[in-house]
Amino acid sequence: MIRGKYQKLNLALVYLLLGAFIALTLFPFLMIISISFREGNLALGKILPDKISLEHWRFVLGLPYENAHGQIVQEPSVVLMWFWNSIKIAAFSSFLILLLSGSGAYAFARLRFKFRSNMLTSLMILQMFPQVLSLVAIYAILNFIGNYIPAMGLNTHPGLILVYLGGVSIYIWMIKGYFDTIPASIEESAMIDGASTFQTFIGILLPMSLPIFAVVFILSFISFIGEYPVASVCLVQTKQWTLAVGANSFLYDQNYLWGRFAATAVLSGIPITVVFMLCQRFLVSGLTSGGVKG
Amino acid sequence: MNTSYKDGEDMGKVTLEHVYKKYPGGFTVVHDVNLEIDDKEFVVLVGPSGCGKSTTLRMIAGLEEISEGKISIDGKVVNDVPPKDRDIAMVFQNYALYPHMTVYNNMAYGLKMRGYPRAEIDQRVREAAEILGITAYLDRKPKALSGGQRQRVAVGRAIVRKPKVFLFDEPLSNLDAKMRVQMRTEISKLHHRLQSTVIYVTHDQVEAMTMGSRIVVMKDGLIQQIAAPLDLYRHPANQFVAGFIGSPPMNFFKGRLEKKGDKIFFNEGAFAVGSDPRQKEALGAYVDQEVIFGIRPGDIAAAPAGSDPDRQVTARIELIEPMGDEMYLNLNTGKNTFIASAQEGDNVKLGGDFKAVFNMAKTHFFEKEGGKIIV
Repeated sequence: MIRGKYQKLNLALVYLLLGAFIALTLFPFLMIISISFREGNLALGKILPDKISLEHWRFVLGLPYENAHGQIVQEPSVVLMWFWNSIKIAAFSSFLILLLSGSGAYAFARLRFKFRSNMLTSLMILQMFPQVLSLVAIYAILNFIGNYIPAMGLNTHPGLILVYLGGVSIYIWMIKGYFDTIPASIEESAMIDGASTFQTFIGILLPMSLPIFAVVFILSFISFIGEYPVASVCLVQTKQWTLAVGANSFLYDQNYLWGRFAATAVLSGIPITVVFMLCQRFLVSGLTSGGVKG
Repeated sequence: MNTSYKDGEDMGKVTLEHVYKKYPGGFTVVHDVNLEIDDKEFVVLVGPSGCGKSTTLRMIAGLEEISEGKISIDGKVVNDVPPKDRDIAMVFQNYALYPHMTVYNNMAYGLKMRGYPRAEIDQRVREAAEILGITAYLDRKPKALSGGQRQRVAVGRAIVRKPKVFLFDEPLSNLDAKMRVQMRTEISKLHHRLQSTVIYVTHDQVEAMTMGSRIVVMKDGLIQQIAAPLDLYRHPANQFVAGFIGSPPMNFFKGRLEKKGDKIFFNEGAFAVGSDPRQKEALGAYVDQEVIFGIRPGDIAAAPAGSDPDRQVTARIELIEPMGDEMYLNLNTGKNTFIASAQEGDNVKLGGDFKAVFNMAKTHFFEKEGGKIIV
């Protein structure tokens, strides 16, 4: 393409703006990494620390480290336990979210039943209220459940997962939107070919819907890894905490342990990155192309 | 290979009795459809979009519930039988292939679902692929095929199952013109070979005329006429059928019937033509009434010298469409426009007058209200 002088100027300006925007987005992330490698527990300081210190990382990973008094300390890492808790909870919840929202979306997209659109709308409206607003209710409900099924009550992971599953409605909407773009005739074909509804769902619709399932898994996984308010109320004991709750515990009124907080925060980015990389190969377009004439 | 592709003496007879399809809110898309389709028959449902033809087909397939009435296949009422147990196969307008499966698996899917042994699946799929000429593409995904090939796969997926009844829902309307003509003949040949009942839905009257052994013309959810192609062409039941079947469509004029002497004339205002003596009896009751007069473009020709003045009409040429051997003239009488076919040698000039002669023996008259045929 041939560009005029002004267009070139324009382009340069656009690049400049975009560059500034990227820098703005990346800056906090770089700060966190920098803080986690900085000596002491201060929030402020240079981006490139004068002296690289591994004390926070050693603490987080449970390796022996030298504390403020010059003593060598080694204790089992509570952070790694939170890390494991977070992965477990986020993975389980996301998987169950997939199951629930996938089948729910199928019903909303393909089946005709009474109050279908009313239910869809109320799902939409209900999910506009932040879950935090119902913290008291969640607490009371989990407490109540715990009386009968102790494994699902307060201070248990299954209990927290149960609460997280309440956030399914937005994913139902997302998946339904995707299903709506897939022509029903492909599934009708399968029905005539002798497949049951379930077989059609598993064998025909699911393989075509991998991208949206990957997106839903990633999004819910990220949100559960970072979720703090609900988890902080539902999980009481230290060893049950998730990373987000644990990281926050480093910030108490008398002492803000920014260094440890930063190292924990960086750690929580690892599972998200891994999940994203795993799911990325499903994020391909054109899975449905060729099946029908557009 | 067997010339007959069918197992045993299956009967593919399909009967629809007083079938209705109503949607909530009182909206009726299919109105009291009665239809009897014989085994091995090729029946075409044709009509403009929204006429209920696809809905009717989908009700036969079991994809759509029947609001009222009875549908039976092979003498068995199938109202509550799911699609997979009706022994039918359907080819969709948009092919509806499984995009994540190879051509082979697309065709094998129905047999797998029905638990056929592997060897038989393989044999049937290869046989069908052979018939349709898609053996070379068996390992490809639908994405890597052209439109025509995809539709072939869709047909192949239907024929491997050897069902009693084949249902086609506008299978050719997504193909380009040339491919459409080719697939049209292929499907017709396939029907002869498979010896199964075929119910074929289309909005294209050419497809209907060339493929069907019987045609069902539908409009607004109502069956207008059921007849063999040429019967439909020659003896339409009403103005709608007359206008729908045939290309270019039949010309219609509104006007009055007048009796002059012993002959009944049709007076359009700008011209008057004398009706054929054989139509006299039927037209007698409509003298001095408004009627619709219909004549096909092919029944209008350039008037040779000395032709019957009672059958002559002069009109201005507004447009000439050359088609090769013949040409279509868009003519204007001053009150109406109509189309006539002219031959290569005829003296026609844009803007000039055209002296036409009407072949009155092949014309039709319809009632002004409702368009029912008079003769």
